[in-house]
Amino acid sequence: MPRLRWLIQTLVAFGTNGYLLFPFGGSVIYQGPLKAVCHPGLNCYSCPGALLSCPVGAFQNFLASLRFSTGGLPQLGFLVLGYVGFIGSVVGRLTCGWMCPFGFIQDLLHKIPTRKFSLWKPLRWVKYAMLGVLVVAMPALYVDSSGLGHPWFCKLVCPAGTLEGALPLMVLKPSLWGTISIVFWNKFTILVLTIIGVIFISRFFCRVICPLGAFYSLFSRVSLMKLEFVEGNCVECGACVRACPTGVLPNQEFDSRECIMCLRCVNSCHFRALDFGMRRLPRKPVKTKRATSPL
Amino acid sequence: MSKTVLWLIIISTILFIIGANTGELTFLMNLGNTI
Repeated sequence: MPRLRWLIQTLVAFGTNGYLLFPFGGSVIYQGPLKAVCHPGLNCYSCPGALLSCPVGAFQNFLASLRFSTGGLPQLGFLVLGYVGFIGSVVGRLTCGWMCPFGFIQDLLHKIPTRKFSLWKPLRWVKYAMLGVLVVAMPALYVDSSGLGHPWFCKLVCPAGTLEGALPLMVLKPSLWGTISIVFWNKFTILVLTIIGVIFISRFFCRVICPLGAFYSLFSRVSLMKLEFVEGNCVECGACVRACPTGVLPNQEFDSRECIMCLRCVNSCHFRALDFGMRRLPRKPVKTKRATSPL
Repeated sequence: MSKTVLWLIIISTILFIIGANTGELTFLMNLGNTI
């Protein structure tokens, strides 16, 4: 199973960032029809190799240009909401564990051999603030004099954008060096801190900052696919707890919003106490006839 | 399959179709061209 996950992560990361014409006279970033499709994970659409759009960036841009919508219905990003909502409903945060290129980068960075630390749990709520404030509220409400909002999460925070988009673009187009401002250095600092965080704390970005992970986590309690715990098989050896990259206690916290369904816990359990499958309807209690008194 | 997830899938699909029919695909395409 771990090998399959690595294979899928590698294929998705390279497959969706497979635009390789930029060194051969093509445009620096891909501008073809595939950009109308969103990536299921967090992957900067400014990355020179990116073939797909970033759902977080695209959604912010819809909200930012809300006042310029043409036609009957305002363009609120229904396309992106429907897309990520569908993925979240079916697989929840499985996308984070298996298909997110930035998650894959984090997994690789965390392999650097150092002392590892656990996350201070209240920090997990920061990602919901990122989602609510920087991805939804500010792009929609905070507009400039022309009525245009800005994708504030991309602009101020996103380390994936700095790593996959800004830095490679600056290497490919040295003319961009002249446009560097305090905003870039702010994002560069966040990237450095994120990389340090990820090396020491597993999936630091996913657990603390990622607004897409925060959105998918809203579906964790209802998603079609889920982790199942077979209580009778558990011997409380703690192997699943040690294997979990997001600090979940798989034998105690069911349907945890932090679970990225990487299935390391399933793989580590030798007693088949954890399984991955489809959520079933809760069984209705069978009505039994009340025993009548013989008297 | 629970009723909640079934409704979520239906709502997501409807949202996607609304988005696709209100020019959001063109917006995304243009976004890709202007970055």
